[in-house]
Amino acid sequence: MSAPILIETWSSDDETAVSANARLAKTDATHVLWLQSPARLAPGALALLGSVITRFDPDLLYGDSTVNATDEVRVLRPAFSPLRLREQNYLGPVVVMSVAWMRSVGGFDPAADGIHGYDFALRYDGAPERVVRVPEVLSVLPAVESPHSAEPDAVTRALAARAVRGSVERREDGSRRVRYDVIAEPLVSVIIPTRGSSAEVRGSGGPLVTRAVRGLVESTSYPNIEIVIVADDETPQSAIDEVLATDNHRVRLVRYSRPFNFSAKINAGAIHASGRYLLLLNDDVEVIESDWLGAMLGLAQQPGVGVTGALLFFEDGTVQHAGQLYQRSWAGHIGDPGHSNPPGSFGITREVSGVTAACALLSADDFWRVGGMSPDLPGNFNDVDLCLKLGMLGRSAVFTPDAKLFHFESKTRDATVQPWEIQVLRERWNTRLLLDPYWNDSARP
Amino acid sequence: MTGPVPDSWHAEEAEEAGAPRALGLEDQLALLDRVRGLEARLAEYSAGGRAPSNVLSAEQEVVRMQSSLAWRLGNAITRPSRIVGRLRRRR
Repeated sequence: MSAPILIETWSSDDETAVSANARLAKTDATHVLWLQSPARLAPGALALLGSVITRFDPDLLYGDSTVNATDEVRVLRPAFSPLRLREQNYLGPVVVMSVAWMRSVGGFDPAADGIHGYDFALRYDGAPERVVRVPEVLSVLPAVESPHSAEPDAVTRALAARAVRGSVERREDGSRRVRYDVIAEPLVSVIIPTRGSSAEVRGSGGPLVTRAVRGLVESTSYPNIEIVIVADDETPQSAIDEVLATDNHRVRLVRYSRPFNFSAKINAGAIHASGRYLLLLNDDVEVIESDWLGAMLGLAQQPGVGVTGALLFFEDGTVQHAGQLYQRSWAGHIGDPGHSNPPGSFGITREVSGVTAACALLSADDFWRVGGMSPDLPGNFNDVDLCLKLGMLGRSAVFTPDAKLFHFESKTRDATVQPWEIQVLRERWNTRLLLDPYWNDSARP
Repeated sequence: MTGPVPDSWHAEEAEEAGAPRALGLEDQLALLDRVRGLEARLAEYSAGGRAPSNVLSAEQEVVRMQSSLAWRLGNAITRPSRIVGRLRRRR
């Protein structure tokens, strides 16, 4: 960058949209630091921001905060997450924007007085890598943040500006939900690999795949589905009969006669699927709420979204999956009891590094573009690999708590990871497995 | 490809197991997967292309690691052997 960096600090206490636009027209600054009252800048923040801007020339920056200037409560922010931003203003009170970009999007919106930093970020439509999260403390908060009353309207305007069909609602816990309309009701092919295993769940036994198919047929409100069952040779005849008895019009059977390979089974199912979207579903799941598939599909249809995952519970009600976490050269699930729940993170739709293939929705086109699931990973990490391949195409992975299912994983699966499996994964994605951009370990100072 | 075991389940299948069309498509998927995997491995060796947020987080992690007690202890313990190694290379 040739021009010297000049950052001006503008406070929400001093500026309305009218005064700020007048100032924006005249300023010689290259960047505006929007400071949301009553927070204050952390010592050294301006110098740090100047060095980051000099290095990367971003359009928009934000960073971490402390509460009451102690590191006891440190608010760590995720990497730029546009869908999460609509449900949660995670940016914090310091948002730095390039003046050229602010002018290019029309300046301050008079309808957004009080939340201009958030409003600008909602309107951001450039390259995601030009939004930078600075992993240092930029601001000091007097108390833990709470949502501003003007935020829902700002989100509604942002949806309208992008012609996104959907609505902004309030969740039961007080947080915000964006409900995306499903466009054109496309056919969803649900691919369920099975060997017909039986287990007792809540006192009743029988093949798990029957329970899963029954949930799809009887407890799913989205109507346009087909069910592709990829069944091992060993699958009991009774399980096949029960599945067909549930709904033989929408069920397709695909025989799998080779040694176990989850990826190959999913790929075999995809070859026989005719839907525009593929839902990868384990046979040991049970639907909890009927609108789960519509919620996932509405998200999957958003631009840039590659794969959408669900909130999965163990039989005892603890969280099994709220997204995947890739860090310290390992890949695992975000869920109880392994992880804390930073404010609202289990309860909002948000970008994640990946989602489990126990319940994952993606477009058939994207599935074919990345070569489906890797047969080199027959048991573990094939979903991690799939999500990272989609990421390489610029497609995001999104978790939503609005699709809730039980996952009786412990009933059917040996969770042992072989050393060669993690080796195969690291050969492809070594760097990407070191730090997770979307999840900060809140226990770490 | 092996055929179904004799006492396996019977029902109408979407396609005859082992049909050339399906096998060809499976091969196509596997080939594409290999290509994507090689692209990913190649990207691993490329220093460029990392998002600024990721670069900053990685730098912060390095600083954190280098200020840890384990790193400083290891650094102190291995210093003599590193000095000897450097002197040997000069000769």
